[in-house]
Amino acid sequence: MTVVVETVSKSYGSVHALRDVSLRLDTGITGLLGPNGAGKTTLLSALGTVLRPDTGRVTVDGRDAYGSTAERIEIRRRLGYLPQEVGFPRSMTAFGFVEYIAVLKEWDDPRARGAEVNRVLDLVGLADRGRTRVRALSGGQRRRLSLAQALLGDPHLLVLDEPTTGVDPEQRAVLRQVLSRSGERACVLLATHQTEDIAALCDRVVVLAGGSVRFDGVVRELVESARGRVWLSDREYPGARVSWRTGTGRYRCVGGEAPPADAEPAEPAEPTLEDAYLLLVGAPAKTKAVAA
Amino acid sequence: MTAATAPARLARREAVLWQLTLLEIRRYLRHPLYLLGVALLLLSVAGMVASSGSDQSPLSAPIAPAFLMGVFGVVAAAQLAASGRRLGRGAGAVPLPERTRSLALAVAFVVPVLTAAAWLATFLVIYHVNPPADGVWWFGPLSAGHVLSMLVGTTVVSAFGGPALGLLVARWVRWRPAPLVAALLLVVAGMVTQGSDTFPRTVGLLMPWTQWSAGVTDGRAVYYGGSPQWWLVYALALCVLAVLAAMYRDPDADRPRYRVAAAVVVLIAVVSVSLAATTGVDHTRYLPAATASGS
Amino acid sequence: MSTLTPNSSWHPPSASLAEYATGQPSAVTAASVEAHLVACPECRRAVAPLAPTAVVEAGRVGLRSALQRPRAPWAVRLARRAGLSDPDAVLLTASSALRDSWIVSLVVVLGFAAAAPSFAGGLGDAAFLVIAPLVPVVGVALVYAGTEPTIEAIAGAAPYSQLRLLLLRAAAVLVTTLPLVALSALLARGGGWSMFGWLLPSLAFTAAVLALSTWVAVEVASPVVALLWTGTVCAAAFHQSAQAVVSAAVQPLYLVLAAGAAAAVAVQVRRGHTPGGIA
Repeated sequence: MTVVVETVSKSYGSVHALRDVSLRLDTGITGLLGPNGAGKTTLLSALGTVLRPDTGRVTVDGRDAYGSTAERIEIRRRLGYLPQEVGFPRSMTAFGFVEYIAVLKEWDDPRARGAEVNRVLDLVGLADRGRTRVRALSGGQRRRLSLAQALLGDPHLLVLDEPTTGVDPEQRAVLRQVLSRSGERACVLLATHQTEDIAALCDRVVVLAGGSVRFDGVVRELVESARGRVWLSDREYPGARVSWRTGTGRYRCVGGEAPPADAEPAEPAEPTLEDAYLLLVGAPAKTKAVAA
Repeated sequence: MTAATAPARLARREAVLWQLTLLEIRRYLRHPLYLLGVALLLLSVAGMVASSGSDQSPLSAPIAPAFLMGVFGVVAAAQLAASGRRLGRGAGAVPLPERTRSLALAVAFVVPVLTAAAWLATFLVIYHVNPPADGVWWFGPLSAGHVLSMLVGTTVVSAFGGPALGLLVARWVRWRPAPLVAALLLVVAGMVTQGSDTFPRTVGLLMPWTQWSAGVTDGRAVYYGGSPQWWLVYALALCVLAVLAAMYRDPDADRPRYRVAAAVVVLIAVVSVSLAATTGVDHTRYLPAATASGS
Repeated sequence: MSTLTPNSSWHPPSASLAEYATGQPSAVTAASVEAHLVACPECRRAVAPLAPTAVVEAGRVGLRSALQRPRAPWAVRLARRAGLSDPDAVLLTASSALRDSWIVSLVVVLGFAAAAPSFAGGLGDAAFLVIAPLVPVVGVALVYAGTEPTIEAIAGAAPYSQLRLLLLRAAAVLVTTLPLVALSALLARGGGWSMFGWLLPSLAFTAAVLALSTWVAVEVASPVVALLWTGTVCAAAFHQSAQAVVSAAVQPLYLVLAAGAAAAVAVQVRRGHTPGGIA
């Protein structure tokens, strides 16, 4: 399963949501990181065959997503799409909701459909909630329900916009298991704010900011780009791009100028994905005089 | 951070309320139903210019702004109230209570009201320049107070009353098509009770909109009984009641005070509609007047 | 009642048991084997491994689904019996809008039945002509105003034909509302040609709202159509008679409107713009 995005652009009036974005995704899990307004949702919608870009092409396994209707339907038959949650049909039951989507995915035989709906509900841990109304589910449970419908039919392409938002850590571990298993056979694109999810799950990561791709490569590479630019110090260091007090009482300082040699002892820290991300897209720090 | 003093907080709240009112005014101005209403009102003005001077009864024209600002406004205001609630929920930061937002929206009804008033002014100018032919109900057969109060009551006040009804429905009824159904019921109720043989004139006067003159039937122009001046007061009372009831919905409202205010308004309404039914013109009149067995 | 004991030591031959487990034997054999199994734990243990697990598993899963599947409204169940396919039934069960539009139609019928006496004469005609064609319009507004953006976004990414979904919903609204409106016509207007003058307008307006909803929100489209029609009827009632808007001379207009709106809907949906959905 290969997805190719060629110089895709999309604007809403004067806002350029995507500028000449080009990507290639293969089987496996790719993370999509970026601040709000970076164009993540637009890109995911374009990949989900629901938002035609102004320019460029989106090709899924050789089929043009915005070419002929027949090709688009063929892509949709192998697609699982999870949009960012905006609203939810509150009076539906969990089972009813997934079954509705299953019918839209052409599961005509009621027996097979019922079995498949139960299978995906089991996968996300909502097996005993089939008859509960959506309005009685917590935010995390609704998110898991939304993910369940994307998993119907074991799709070859999974486009997921923030699947683990609001999900408690225990359930997030379950979802990570599900997603990593899907990643063995399918191409999964996962947009999220949670850098820990990316670090735990993804082989590759794409960083999107201001509508363009800032980084496209292996997670390890991105993390390494922050090496030598992160320190732990005993006090807040004004020259850092951002620094905060950690639970151990020491300050983690990321980016900016290196602390001067005669300052308080500061040792380099092991960079994390979050540090690398902050360095890549964070606003440049205002220059401040360093206290002697 | 120092705590804001009470006057400063009040001032800030008033400033926010003013900002909110301006926002609602802008939203009303941009609402498709309002814009469509304005377009059709302009058409009606063109129609009046074209036909003024012939023996159309001018007093039946006020139905145009009543429908295009009032009835359209039922749905427009309800949608603004509902979407305002959604916006407030999304923003999260707006601390204004629901009753204040209702009040701000009610103030924003100045938009349809002024539009109806503009129509009325145009209407009066047109018929001043080109007075209608004899044999219709107009200044002359009727006193200025009569004509003006019926005109204002059925145009400008309706332009407030319709949206007020929409606001009321939006606050109290959570069913989505409710405003449209309310608007249709309003029209049907008007159609059935006005100028009807089945319902006496009193029922017609109880309606939120009433017909005073029905154009020419069988060669005679009809004018219905009642006192338009008192009816104007009644219509205004209904408008105030609707807004109060909409604000009452807020669980934090000072409900006893609202109940007292509502009781006063209800009293005014009951008194004024009774006076409207019993004073003024006491029977349906025709022009030209019937000759033999008069009616 | 005496406890059942196996009849001495007779047991069904294993061939019969195997047949029973796979559901093959004749009714008589099955009945006698089953009667024996009720009383004989030994044979029950022998039968268990013979049952094909797939069938049993499917049965278990089927039961679970049947228990969890939301109960369709009675109208949909009725339609199922009349031939509506199972997938279509699921799609129509999804929203409560159809039940709501049925309730609206019922209210209209009852309203006209109750108010029939006061509907004599021109204004009564006008009132009826305002309401009758708009009932399906309100129904369409219910269906599409009730859809949530998330579910429509997900539906947009599914292979199911959006046009077919739209037609299914529209057909359901019409089937739910039109018969009841016809009934109210009977109650309010008596029989005669005027009974059906409103039918073509109602189809035309339903199509018009659907078409308009592919451009603007359905909450705007339906009031616009409804209120324009209301104004037209009122104006006609004022000047001549309300019946003028449904006279034979005017009917072809509604046919043209219906056809044009239907074509617009088809084109828009093919291009990906669905009512109530993401553009």
